[in-house]
Amino acid sequence: MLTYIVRRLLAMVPVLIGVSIIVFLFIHMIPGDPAVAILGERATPESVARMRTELGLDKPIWEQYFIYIGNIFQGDWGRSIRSNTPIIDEIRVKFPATAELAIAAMIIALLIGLPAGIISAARRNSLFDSTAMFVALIGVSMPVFWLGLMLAFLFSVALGWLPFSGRLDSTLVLQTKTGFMVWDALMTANWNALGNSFAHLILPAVTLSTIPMAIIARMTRSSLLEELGQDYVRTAKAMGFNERRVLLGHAMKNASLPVVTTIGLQVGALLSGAILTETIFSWPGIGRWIFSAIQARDYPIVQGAALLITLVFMAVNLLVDISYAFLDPRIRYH
Amino acid sequence: MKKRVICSVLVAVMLLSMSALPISAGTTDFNDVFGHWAQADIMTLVDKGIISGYPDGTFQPDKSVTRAEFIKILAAALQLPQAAPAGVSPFSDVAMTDWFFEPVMEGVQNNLIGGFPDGTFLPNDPITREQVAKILVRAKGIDETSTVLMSQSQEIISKIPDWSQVSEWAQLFVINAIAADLMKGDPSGNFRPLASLTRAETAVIGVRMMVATPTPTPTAPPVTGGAFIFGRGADCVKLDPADVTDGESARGTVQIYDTLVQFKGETTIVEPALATSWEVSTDNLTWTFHLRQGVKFHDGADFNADAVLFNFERWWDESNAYHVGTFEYFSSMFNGFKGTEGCTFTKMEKVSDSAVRFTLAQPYAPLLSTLAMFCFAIASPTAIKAQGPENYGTSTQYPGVGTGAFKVVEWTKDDKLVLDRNPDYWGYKANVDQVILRVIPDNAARYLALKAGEIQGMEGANPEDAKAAAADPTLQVLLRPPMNVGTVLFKVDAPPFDNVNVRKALAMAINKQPIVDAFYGATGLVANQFLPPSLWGYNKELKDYAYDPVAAKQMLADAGYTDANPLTIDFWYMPNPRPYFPDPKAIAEAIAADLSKIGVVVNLKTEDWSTYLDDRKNGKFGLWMLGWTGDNGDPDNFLFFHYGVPRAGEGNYNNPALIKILLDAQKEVDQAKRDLLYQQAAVLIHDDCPRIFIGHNQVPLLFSTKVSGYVPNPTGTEFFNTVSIAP
Repeated sequence: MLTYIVRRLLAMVPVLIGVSIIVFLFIHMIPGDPAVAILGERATPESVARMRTELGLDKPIWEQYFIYIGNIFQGDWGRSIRSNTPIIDEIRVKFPATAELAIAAMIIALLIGLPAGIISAARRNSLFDSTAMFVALIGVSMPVFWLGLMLAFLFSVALGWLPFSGRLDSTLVLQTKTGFMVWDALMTANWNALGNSFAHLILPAVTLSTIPMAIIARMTRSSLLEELGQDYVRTAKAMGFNERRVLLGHAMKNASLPVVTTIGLQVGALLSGAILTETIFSWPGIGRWIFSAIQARDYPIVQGAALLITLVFMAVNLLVDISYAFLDPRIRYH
Repeated sequence: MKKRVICSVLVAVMLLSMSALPISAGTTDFNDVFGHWAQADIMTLVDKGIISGYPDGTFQPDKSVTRAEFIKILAAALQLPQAAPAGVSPFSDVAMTDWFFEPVMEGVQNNLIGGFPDGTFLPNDPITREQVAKILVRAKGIDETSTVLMSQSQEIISKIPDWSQVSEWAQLFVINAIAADLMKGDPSGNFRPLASLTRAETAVIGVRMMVATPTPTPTAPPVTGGAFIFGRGADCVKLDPADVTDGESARGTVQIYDTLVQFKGETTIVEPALATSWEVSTDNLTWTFHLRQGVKFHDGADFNADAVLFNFERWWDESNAYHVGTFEYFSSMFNGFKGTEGCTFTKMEKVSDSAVRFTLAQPYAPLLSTLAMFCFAIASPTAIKAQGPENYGTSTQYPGVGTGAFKVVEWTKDDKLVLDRNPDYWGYKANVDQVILRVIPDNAARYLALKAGEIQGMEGANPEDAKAAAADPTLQVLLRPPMNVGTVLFKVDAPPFDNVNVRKALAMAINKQPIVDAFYGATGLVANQFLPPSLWGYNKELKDYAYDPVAAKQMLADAGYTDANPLTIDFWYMPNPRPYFPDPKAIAEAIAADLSKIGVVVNLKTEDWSTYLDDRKNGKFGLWMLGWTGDNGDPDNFLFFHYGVPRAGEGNYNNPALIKILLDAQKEVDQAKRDLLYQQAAVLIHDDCPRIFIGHNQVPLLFSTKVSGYVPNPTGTEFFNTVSIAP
């Protein structure tokens, strides 16, 4: 098992190098560069040339790449072209913001999606089943942007129950250590900030949870149905085990492999795909950061963030693969 | 983008359906007011019922105003208390039955106006500008004998060529009216004391008095304390103003820093800031600035000549150890860095602890306006040295340190910038304890945050949200005076637009007024030249190409483009709104529709903004949309930037006569002469038609009604120390 994990970790290195090359090439291939993006209407050939020199963009592209990758290996992620802030400092703040949101969304998605899928499978073709699957269909196809604005309008503007912009009230101060607001507030026993950051988390997390929730519910239902049709289920039932035990104890355990795979993929998608939710709810996370960096052609940010997301994706996949071994004793890694 | 549009529409529909109140727009359209330089003010007073037009649908803005008419308008604008009942008229020529009896009495009882020694009031005589000066100074409660310092009066008098014509009794009033910014001279500086006031001038004065006089409690002190939370679309890039060019960075840094001179209130008039006064040598090459004494930076360091020189040398000298960054504004405004051919400065030196001197390579008329820009703010040298030039102003740990009304407390990137009141500020100490600049990237979400009370002010509203806000009793809309222009450009050195008649045909085919009405909210102005009407240098006489699709089609036919052989063009528009084009796609579609009416086949095209700017710079487009937002209120910043050097990005438009005028204007220090030069330039540009000028936008700013004291400035950089928040 351990050798397997080490092998997988080592295999990440060439993938990361490959990703860095591809991202580097792509971002440099798009027309427009940071100088043009910074200068806006005042971009003239002279001012752009002057600024490119100041920013070090006049070097050959391969040279820029080797400087970049060399620094990465020394633990230096570089600095933003526009703001000159070290990338690693921004990642320390923005990654926890997105992670907190994604974790909250995933908890909601699991708490609702899993039971809904199981009940739908158990009561196939019942009213609950068709309603749940219809709602799930809406969940997948509802535009996140629209849903977010509607929730914001209803719960913040019309009812005034929940805040919707940012992670904390503007005037509240919380010294963050980990970057996870809820966690930091809990650890410092700052109950006011805890309640406030939790309230700020609700609307964006609910918005972000809709798509994974719907996918998990449908996936759980279909893989459970498949298992329920297997011989061992019939045998178990024939042997007189009660329904619930057959369903949850036997069938669900076997059905969980594809479900876990789906969850793993969704975690990756949540981390990188939270951009719309982060935009509506003014959440200072990684998605918005990358998006504005692409618009501004802030190469080091785009590269750094792409590497980070690749890392997270691969780590989650590794965890999913390892979990297989626990869920299915037939799977052994060597 | 599409999602955003759909969502905005949905939210707008929802909001409108909840509060379906009509928007009060100028319902009376005068056929002689549109495009007039005083249009906005005239419409404001008309909407408020303070002034009205004539039954024939005209307003006659240039007609003179009588004494009776003026006092009636002013009484309404000031909301003067009703006159105590009088048994008999104090004037032989004012009867109690006259329509103007009531306002004249109000003016007399408030000590604004009196009669003549012979007991007459002469109500039907035109009012002169010097009489107006007296009334306004009285209305503002200014003691004309004590408020203006001797040195300031001398300075004011020296700038009025026709000072000798001012009547003796009116001299102190005229000086005070100018010092208090109640009245101005004409573009050449003449005050014209005996000229009569026009209806348009009256409207401007009426609005100014209305704004300047808070009713109903004129003496109420501003509310102090609390936090002013302002929502915006993006964060500051850096808190080092010298090394940024974006408006959002400027919005943050002007609260933290001061410049040597600054823009006054809602104008681009330059007033003293960290420099209290200045002198220019007779050859206009040496400028000496006297610095304010006793000012300290937020870190406790002293502000003095060494600090000023440290900053200027950091910007100017590429070999300076602290010159880390691009310093783009310095090099573009002053034509490069130290040692570059053509750089404005040749020498920077300390005269004493409280004075610095700059020597220029050649006279540079826009110097003061340029130094008032946010980017030429003085930062603490000790802070820059302590933080290191590569870190300065990049985070909470490395904050920007200036002398301004607020200091940095906390900066969470892409979330909020928290600033605390500087209790030791040299100028007007802030009313609020805290300013918080919140980043809310989506326009619709930002508007909802304002409605939900999470922020108290915002910029960048979708046009439909700005309309909804105008009808919302809990919100107020302020308009920033226009200093921008949205245009359509031609590549003039390649077919088909190398033919000036083709360009003119297109200009005549676009019906600008409906486009401006539809897409600039109620506040846009049709543009017929580069400069907005609020700027000096604006050519009032210039007549725009009249909208005439028939003649335009004929001109195209003469150039060889007929229905059988139509002119087919790609028309490029930008993907995102700009201050001068609130909705570029819709505007492009409207223009394309107008062009198709004269038989032009238009392919609309767009691309990502950075790519768009790059392609435009490299001359890829034949017909495209782009505009300009002015930096400092000087016409040079509009005209020389674009036409001083022929460029592919300007469609290779090259008119040596125009370039000469613009260079002359840059060196000429007499503003009256510069004014005329820019007016000439406008005519040359009009005749060559390298651009079609579409509109000037007055950017709306939305606030909770609890907010007061916010003064929008055309440059977009506004000081928050005057803002108050009601509890």
